[in-house]
Amino acid sequence: MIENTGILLSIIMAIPMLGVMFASLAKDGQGQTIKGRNVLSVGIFTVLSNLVILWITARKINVNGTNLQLIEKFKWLETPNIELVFGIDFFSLLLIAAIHFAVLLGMIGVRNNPYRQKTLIILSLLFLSMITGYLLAADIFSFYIFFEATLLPLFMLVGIFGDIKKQDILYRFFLYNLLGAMLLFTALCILFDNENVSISEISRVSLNRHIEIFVWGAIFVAFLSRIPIWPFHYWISSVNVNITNPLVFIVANIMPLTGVYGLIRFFPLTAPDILEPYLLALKIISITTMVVISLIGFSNRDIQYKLFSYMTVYYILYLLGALLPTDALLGNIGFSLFAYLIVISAIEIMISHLEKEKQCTKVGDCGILCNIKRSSFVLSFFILAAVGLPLSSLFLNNMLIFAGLLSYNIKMAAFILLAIILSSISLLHHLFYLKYPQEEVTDSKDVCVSDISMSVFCVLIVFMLILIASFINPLWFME
Amino acid sequence: MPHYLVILLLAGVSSVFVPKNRMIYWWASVVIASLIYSALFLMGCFGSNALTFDWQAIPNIPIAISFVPEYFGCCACLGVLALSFFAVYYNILVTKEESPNAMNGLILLNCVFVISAILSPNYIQLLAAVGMSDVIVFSAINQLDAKKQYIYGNFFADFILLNTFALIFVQSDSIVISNFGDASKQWSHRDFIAIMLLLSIFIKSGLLMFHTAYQKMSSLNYNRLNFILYVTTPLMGAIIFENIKDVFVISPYSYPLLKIFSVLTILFAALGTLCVDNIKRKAVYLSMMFWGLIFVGYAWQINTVSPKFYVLLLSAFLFNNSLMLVYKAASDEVLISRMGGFLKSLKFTFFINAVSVVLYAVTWWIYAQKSIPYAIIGLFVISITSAHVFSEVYLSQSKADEWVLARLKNPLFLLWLPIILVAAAVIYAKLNEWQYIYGFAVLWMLLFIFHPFRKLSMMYKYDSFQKSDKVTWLYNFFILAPLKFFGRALRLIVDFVFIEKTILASIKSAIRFAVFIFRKLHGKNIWGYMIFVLSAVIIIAVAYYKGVMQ
Amino acid sequence: MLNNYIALLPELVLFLGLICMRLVKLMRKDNTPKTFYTLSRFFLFFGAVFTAIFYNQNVTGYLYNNLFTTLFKILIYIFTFIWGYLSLKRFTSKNMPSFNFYNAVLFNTLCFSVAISTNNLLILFFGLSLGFWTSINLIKMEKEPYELNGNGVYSAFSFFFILAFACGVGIFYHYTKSFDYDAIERALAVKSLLIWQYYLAFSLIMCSILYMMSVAPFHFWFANAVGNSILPVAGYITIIPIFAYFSCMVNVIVNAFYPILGWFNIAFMCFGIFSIFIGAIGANSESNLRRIFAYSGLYYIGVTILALFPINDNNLVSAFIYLLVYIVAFCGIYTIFYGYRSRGDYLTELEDIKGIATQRPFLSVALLIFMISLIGTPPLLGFLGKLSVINSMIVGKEFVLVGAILVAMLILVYAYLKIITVVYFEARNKNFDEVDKGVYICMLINIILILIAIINPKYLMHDVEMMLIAVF
Repeated sequence: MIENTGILLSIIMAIPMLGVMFASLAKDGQGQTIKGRNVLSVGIFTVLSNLVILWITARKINVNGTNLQLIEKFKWLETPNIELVFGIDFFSLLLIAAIHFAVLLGMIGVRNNPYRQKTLIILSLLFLSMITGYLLAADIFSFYIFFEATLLPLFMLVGIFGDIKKQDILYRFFLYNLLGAMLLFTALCILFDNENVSISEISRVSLNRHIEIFVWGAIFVAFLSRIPIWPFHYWISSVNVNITNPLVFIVANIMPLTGVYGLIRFFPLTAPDILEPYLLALKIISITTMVVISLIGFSNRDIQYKLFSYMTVYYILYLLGALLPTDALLGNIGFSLFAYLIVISAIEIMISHLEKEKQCTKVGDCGILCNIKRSSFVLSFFILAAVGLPLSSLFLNNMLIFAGLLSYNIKMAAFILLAIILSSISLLHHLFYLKYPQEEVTDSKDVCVSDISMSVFCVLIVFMLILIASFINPLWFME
Repeated sequence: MPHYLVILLLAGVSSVFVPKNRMIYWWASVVIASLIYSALFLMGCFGSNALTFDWQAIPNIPIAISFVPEYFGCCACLGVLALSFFAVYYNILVTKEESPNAMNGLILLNCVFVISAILSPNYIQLLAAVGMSDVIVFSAINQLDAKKQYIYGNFFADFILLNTFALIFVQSDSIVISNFGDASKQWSHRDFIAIMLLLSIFIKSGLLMFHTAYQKMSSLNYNRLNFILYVTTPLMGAIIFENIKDVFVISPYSYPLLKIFSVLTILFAALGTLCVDNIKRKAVYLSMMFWGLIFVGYAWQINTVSPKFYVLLLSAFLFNNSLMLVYKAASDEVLISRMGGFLKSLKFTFFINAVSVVLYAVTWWIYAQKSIPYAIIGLFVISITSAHVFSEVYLSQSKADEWVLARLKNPLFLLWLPIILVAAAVIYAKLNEWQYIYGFAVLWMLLFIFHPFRKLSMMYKYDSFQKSDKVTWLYNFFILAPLKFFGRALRLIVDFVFIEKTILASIKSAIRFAVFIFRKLHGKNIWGYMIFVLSAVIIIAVAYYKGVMQ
Repeated sequence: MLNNYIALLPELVLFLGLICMRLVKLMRKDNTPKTFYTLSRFFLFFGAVFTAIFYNQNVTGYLYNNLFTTLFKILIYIFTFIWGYLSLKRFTSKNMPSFNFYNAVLFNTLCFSVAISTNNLLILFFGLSLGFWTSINLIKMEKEPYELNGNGVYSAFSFFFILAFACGVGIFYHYTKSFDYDAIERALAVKSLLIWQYYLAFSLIMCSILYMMSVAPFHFWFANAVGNSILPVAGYITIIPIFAYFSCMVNVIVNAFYPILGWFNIAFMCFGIFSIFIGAIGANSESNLRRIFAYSGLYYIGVTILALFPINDNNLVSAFIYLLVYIVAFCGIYTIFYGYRSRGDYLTELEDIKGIATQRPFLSVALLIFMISLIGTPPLLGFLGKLSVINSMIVGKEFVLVGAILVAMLILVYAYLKIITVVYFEARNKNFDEVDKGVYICMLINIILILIAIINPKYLMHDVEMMLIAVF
């Protein structure tokens, strides 16, 4: 038992880095027999270890506390005087745990990946470490440091494993994100030079009006650059829909969370007047994005795009929920995000399994689930959970987020709900497309699509139980 | 959770995961035992406060869930248990059932959530129960098209319900349903709330325009079909209405809307029953008609809240099952157009069918007698449809092939026994105003013998009519197709034309131009270097002019 | 008497080294590439030691040593030492004579050492001009005349700018009757006596130094020089002389020209902006690795110039940190170039290193780390440079400059992404040679420096600040 809570956060950040070190020393699995299982085991063990530490941390913090807890400070520079501060609250804890679960699922999804497994695991753990640091950051500089640091492992993962046919798309993706990071950096430097404050107090820094407009504009653009917001969703979508490696897809789609989280942390509860135009613009853009992307997803046949559109719509939903002038919804957003990340990760690993089988057996998507009952069951469960049926904490917590949005502006909420319906129906539609028996498939007796293995099925059942537990009691792990 | 529900849950879950055809009767006895135990428990604990619990589903909102069976609640629960019992009963006896164990489990699980919905004091419990029931029914439907239509509709209904309750929550800041009455007058968006709730209920109960999912279920096994039509989602629609009916007074549109939809549903369902050839589709239309009748009662605010509703529901369920007897007797023939003239061979089956009609009519009368016109209209509709169906089967000219005719025989007694038992129990119960029932019997016999709507049987020939699904076509044409068109157009305009061909192409061209100029200046040409030096001179000159001369 | 000249010991040692190398070349017949490396290493070591020991000793009237000068001299020694070691790998593998290279390196170090310490304009002119001219001549090393197409033009321009430097020095001497910084500063301090000739002379000297630093628009010689020369020379002229030019420029501006600096700030700003954009676009227009990094170096020089002016202690510290961080990363990148070999040839084209990550993963990871450091992405050392520069500009309310730097950085990153793509994402089409252990060791030290320095940079920053402000 770790008694000294003063180092818990450092341990949480350090464990994935240790994992990176061990993974770089582990066997790559170039041979046919090993298939990179050694390095994969290191990865899985690392994530599980950190989940245990997170559980210990969860038991040490006050669930209802609104301030950051278990604060750790490091003096970093004297000129300028910069102190790196880390802290955690229940919201960030939930997100970190969800990301760990998502990465764990991703690792299970790549257990048979023969291509550069070592690089894959190392970069994923590096990303995990960086995003964990980001979610624990309590001062503006550590926040920025981890915000930008998440970009590189993601770029490398997408570049190496993303099957991006046009490199230009990849460059745009990186540059767009880098632009956001640079703007954030500039804005934070301006804030820092005026007054060294914590993130929650940023809105009280008094600035010249023009500078304040620039600072908030930069902060908004920076965080929005991580979210596939219209009309700049194109290069993020172009990158995401091409990724066939489930772990990389999951990691790439955790990225918008950094934008959502950033806005949640930076945006003050009572918005100063200066933010009103931004807020209005943000809401208009967000809702337009939701509707446009959900419509595109609805009309698109590619499941990756459908999943992408679903995720984008939900991320923006959480963002809009968090921007409401109340902090009462933060817990609900956390619980909902927890289930959401697990659900999309599970769906993605199932889809990638089907994609692999499709390539091996040369059968089409249509009816591929007909003879693989385990996959069919698992995919159906997770898609039903994703669309918001009472199988996870998405169900009731989303209700409260909708309640907040409806009370704020019912017309705006109507568009949001339309987008959610469309993106959910897209998923359902694809599920039935996969289940629909196709004559061609039944004709060829030789074609035999493999189901997921029993061990993977059991792991997914465990995740289903976690989701159901999160529906019955989102604080199940505290009992 | 109260232990009777836990027992039902455990028995249900374990039955679902038992391999398909292992120890069917043993598992069925476990399931039935759990149902009987629950019934006995419920009868013994009216009004017990011990069955109220705190649920931590949403940490920042205390949710007191309750399974307290008040008198009506207890009767309703008993009714659901009885229906579930009969569903399990038919499930075991129908040999064509693919996986009876799993189906029994689903019946039990559904029973748990329907009871939860009936007893829910707050809408969180109601929502959760409704949603869970949808998941159970989704699992129970083993036909893909029906499954698809069902989940689309019910996802939509649940989503509307969830959001409407969310809207109510932010205005009343309470989740307790009993507080709706007074608080609802202060709400804003009252019309919207009422209409949305009605829409959700209509979808769940499969009223006109929302019935296609149930129509598609006609290819399901008879036992599954009847279970779904009477004990699951349509019933949930009625339960939701009963629970939150106080809300509908807030809008002037809700009752007219309800009236229009319920009446149209009855007319459409009656017409459907008369015109469709497939006996299972007829069964679906009959159930649609049943729910239409129930909602007519709600629409005209005839006070029908009583345990009698569940007796009626059971009778309707058994009446639909009596149709199965015909289907079974005719060697699983589903087309009425290939039946006719069965009376000679199936006299006893006809008798059972007639008893089931009487049972249906009697229970209807018991249920609806507070409003005589309502009761009479119900009797009238029931008599027209049922008489037409049975007249087609038993009296009309035989069109069955020889193989079917040769194999006609009265079904196993276990299949008709419940009908006789329930009918005996109902008739034994005290019933006034038998004259209306006699009137009904006369009317029914006349309709049966003279078969006035026989001309409608010509519709059986039109395949396009029999198989067409105009409502789905309407949805596709007016909603889905435009949405898909918009989606594709947006993709083309936004992604391709606006971003790829305008913004990105401009940036690319600008960079290409910059690189072109750069290469020109940095070639082997000395003039490029001279230009650079000259530019430096100009810069210094300007700096000198600005900094020193001025 | 001896006390007054003891500070000359480092220069004396270097001079002895030059004589010694010449003698060895003349008298010893079995010289190998290692011979001259060993000799230069020996004298460089003692030069560095004496520089450190006599860090505050002055030579009457001509050479002033202080923490500022010592910092730059030591940096030059260290980087020369490292680069000399790495260059040996190349001379040994090709079995080519190394005398010219090590002799020039030692001579350059001597020139730069004198130029950095001096407070005399004439000595500065000779120190920098000779050092620069030697560097320019190194480009011709191991090259046949036909391979040096266009080199004459650059030599002519170089000569022209050295001449301009001389003219500037001459004008000052003509009007102030002294080469001494203090005397010039005193003359320039009287505003009523300022004449246009002073401005002209100042401009000529500044333009010459900027030409040596290859700041745009005087940059045109640099990419070709780096692209056409052999790897040791390319690395040397990229990494080492910049310290000397930078320190000399700061020294002469602060101690001699400060009174008339103000009007030139706008020119510095224009040159800086020119540099960052030309550097960024230039890097995108090239497919040769060395030329790409030559242009990206132009970007960093541009940012350094933008950060430095208007000159004050804060700006000096931030510009220096930026310069140091970028030179450290460049040193790492040129070290990696020693590992990029196939069939004995050093690879210079992007096309040649396709998919190298699959066969030489450590080299590729190192390249990635250095490039990311150059982009300024945390948590690498490059972030420290970016932080110091951007922060100091924001303190100075120069938001337009910050915007320009960031836009140019985005363009530059595009070029880096192309390199990453080729190294990591494309399929390998050839076999790469084994990499020398020495290359790995140097690379590892550099990476550790980049990774570790960022964890606790406060001591480094604090000490550097203390040393730099000694110039004022």
